[in-house]
Amino acid sequence: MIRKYAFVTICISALAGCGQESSDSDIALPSATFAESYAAAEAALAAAEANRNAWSKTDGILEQSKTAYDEGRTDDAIELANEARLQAELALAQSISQKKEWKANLVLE
Amino acid sequence: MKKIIFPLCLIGGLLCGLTAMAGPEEDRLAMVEYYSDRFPDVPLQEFANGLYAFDTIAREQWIEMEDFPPYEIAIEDGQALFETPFANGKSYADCFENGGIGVKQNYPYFDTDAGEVVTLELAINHCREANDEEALPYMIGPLAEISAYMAYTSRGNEMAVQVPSDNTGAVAAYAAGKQFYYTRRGQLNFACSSCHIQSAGLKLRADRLSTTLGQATHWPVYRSKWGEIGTLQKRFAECNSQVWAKPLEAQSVEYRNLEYFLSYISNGLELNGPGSRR
Ligand code: HEC
Repeated sequence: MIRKYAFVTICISALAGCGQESSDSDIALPSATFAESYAAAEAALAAAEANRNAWSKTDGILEQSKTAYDEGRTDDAIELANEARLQAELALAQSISQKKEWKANLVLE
Repeated sequence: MKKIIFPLCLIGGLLCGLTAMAGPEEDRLAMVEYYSDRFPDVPLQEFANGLYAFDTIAREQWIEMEDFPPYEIAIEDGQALFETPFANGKSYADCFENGGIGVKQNYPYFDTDAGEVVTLELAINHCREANDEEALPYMIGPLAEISAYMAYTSRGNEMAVQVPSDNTGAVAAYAAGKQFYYTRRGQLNFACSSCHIQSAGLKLRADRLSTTLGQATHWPVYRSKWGEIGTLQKRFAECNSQVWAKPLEAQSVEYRNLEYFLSYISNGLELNGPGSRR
């Protein structure tokens, strides 16, 4: 129950985050170039790292994105960069919400 | 406990915001009570043996393993390293109380001057650096071996980590470690507490989940899976990875605070390190 609630909170916060930034780098923008998508993912990951809460698969997905681009699979590369960015944004939202929500896990008090 | 704190809060006014959260000793007692209720057949000291306290089948294999302890070589190597003087003629014994023998129960402690938690492993490297030797890597290798030897000389001593209530730095470091233990991390969105408190004793893949109580008494540990001896913070990193969270650096502020909290919770239990685990 608590877990479900926390997860929903993360999703909501993450969506709110996307909304705010949509003016300069929207995931859904078909015209976004690889460079833009990749830079946005890197920036999001840096923000999560700065909050000491990155997810473990994100680095690998960014690497795959780079490889796809080097191999000329630009659409794949953009999709992977966007996935990495979404993960980083969710991780950041998780750490922000947990700064308050962690107390919900205090089963012994 | 809450009943007592509440009227105090009314009187305490401003202080209330700081003291409303349970303190270290209340946390520890709440853990003892919780796990004693949950595992009524397990004597308190047994929690120092992790999941082997209540998993009878795994326990048999573990007792067999302990007949020829896989960490024995690490203790010997660690002792040799410990007793080898530095280039300047001094040695580890000069850096520690009682020559470093039988002192692990006092770690980690809060160094008020430096404003940080000092784990045994950090103290070992501080000692090296103070004597113009290079710091050693933290998770495995010679430093873990020295730590294993020092743990061995401390066997049977009761864990005695101090969080002085009048030391705001120490109290804050403990509180940060506690918060980390209850904070959901990683793509799988688990806190340490989700597994080791709420799900303690339940099976996750091959293993039953150990209790928070006793999690810090037996380090470093030789794990068959690692094929070598590793420090407690190597286990932190692994547990972070398990929930798809990127581990933090060994001996980062966060991990040291976490170790401070976790070690305090084991206060009163006898040290039994180094240990062996699958
Ligand atoms: C997804 C569940 C899960 C989460 C979350 C988790 N762990 Fe673990 N942990 C395990 C499993 C499985 C083991 C191996 C079985 C055991 O000894 O409990 C383990 C073992 C340990 C051990 C070694 C116990 C021993 O007796 O040697 C420690 C210490 C530990 N975890 C600490 C932590 C800390 C600190 C966190 C939070 C950063 C954490 N764990 C989060 C599953 C988890």
